[in-house]
Amino acid sequence: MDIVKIIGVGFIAVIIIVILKQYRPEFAIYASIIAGVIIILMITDTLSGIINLLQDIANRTNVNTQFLKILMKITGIAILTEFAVSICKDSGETAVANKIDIGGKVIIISMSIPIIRALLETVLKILP
Amino acid sequence: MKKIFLVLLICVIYIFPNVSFATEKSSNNEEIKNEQEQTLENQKQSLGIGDFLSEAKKYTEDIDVTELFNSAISGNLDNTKILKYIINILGDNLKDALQVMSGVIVVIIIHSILKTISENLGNESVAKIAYYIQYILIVTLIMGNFSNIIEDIKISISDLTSFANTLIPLLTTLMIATGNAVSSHMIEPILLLVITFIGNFITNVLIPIVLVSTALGIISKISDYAQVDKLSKFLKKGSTLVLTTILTLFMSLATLEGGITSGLDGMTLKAGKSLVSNAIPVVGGILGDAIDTVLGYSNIIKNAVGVVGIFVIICICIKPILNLTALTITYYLGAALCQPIADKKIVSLIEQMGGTFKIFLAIMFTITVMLIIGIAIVMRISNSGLMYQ
Repeated sequence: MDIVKIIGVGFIAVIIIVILKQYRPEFAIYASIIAGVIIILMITDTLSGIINLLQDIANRTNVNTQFLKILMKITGIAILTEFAVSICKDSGETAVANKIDIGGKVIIISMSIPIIRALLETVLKILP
Repeated sequence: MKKIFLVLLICVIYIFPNVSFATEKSSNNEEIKNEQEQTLENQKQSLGIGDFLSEAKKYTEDIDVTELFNSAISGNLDNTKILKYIINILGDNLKDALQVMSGVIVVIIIHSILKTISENLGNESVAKIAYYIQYILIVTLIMGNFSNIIEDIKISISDLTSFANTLIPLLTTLMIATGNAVSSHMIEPILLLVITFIGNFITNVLIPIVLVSTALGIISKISDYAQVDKLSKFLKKGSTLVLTTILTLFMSLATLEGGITSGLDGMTLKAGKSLVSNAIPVVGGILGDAIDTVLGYSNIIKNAVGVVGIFVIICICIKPILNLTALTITYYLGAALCQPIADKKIVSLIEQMGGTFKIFLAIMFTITVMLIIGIAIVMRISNSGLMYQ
């Protein structure tokens, strides 16, 4: 019943934020960040279960697990970046949000460099 | 008294000679058999079959060529061993190909799971990079043994041509031994030239073209913008066309060559035989028969050499052919299986790889069929030359 917990945390955060906004609007953003972190921490267990399952499947076949790890890491980075970007956008800081976005993209591309190299090498190996 | 004597006489006449005939005949048979074997052995030694057999042994791994040769001479080939060998290889190759395919399917499934997460993030570039990574993973999986397969194909093609270069001179020597001098002089240089030329042409021109087309096909699926699919398809179609043209040319050349000269040889042979049997008094007829016998044995040996040659050719090319068959089947099957879950481009990539393997299969089949037909034509020419007598 993880979803009930997540919904509960979300509702409580919303109620706190609504109440805070009347008296101290500057604290409302903290409440929303804390709620987001708590929700992310709650889903990590489930996510690690999914990742274990995927790795288990990959180990049974002769898939290159190194690349699969990169694939998962990239998805994780994307999730975290998106989380940070949405919080920044909520608090009205679109400029910071864009910078975080760019940083995430650069890191993702730098992580996928070995894969691109592997592709180019295989293509070059085919060519006579 | 007279009657009894007559009866006894008849009995003696009918019973005793019967017994003696029987024993004499059987010993005679054995003598003939021994003589036959001896003639065969002599012919084998004088025509240098041993060298050929040791040469052939290099190409076949665990099948005894000498035994095969002897059973081909006596006319009872054992098919079950060869069949077992083929089925074993096919099973192994299918297993390997299926393993690769299962890896591809696992990557696709993992990607589709991650895609549902990353697509909802509203971040396009992440989804794209995830797609690239999945694509690259699949390509590296598929290409993992690709260069090995190409190497195998090249090695077996060069083996085939070099084996043809040892087999066809021997066969033509045997053709001379069966009295087809004209045919052998005509056919040896042409067959050798054509086979060597086609082997070199395929390894140095056709296979690189197919490889380039494969590389183009792989690259053009990476992004939506740079599409060179049509170019790769054009190269593939062109190579298939060239292949069929080569085969047709070879067939027409070989059949024409054989048809013209074999009749001439038959006439020469007949003239020579009648010359021997008529010009030499008294023993001429016997000599003429002896020529016939020797020619017949040479023919048997020649046909056995041809059978062994065809067998060795099959042994050389059976591995790549079975491997490619397994790969082609698996890739088409994989494309069909992936269609519901995978991206359109990935499905078409897998299908295209199946197409590439199919072209390689066609190349191998062309060379094999060409060589087998060449040998069969050499065998047939001299057989028909012998028939003119």
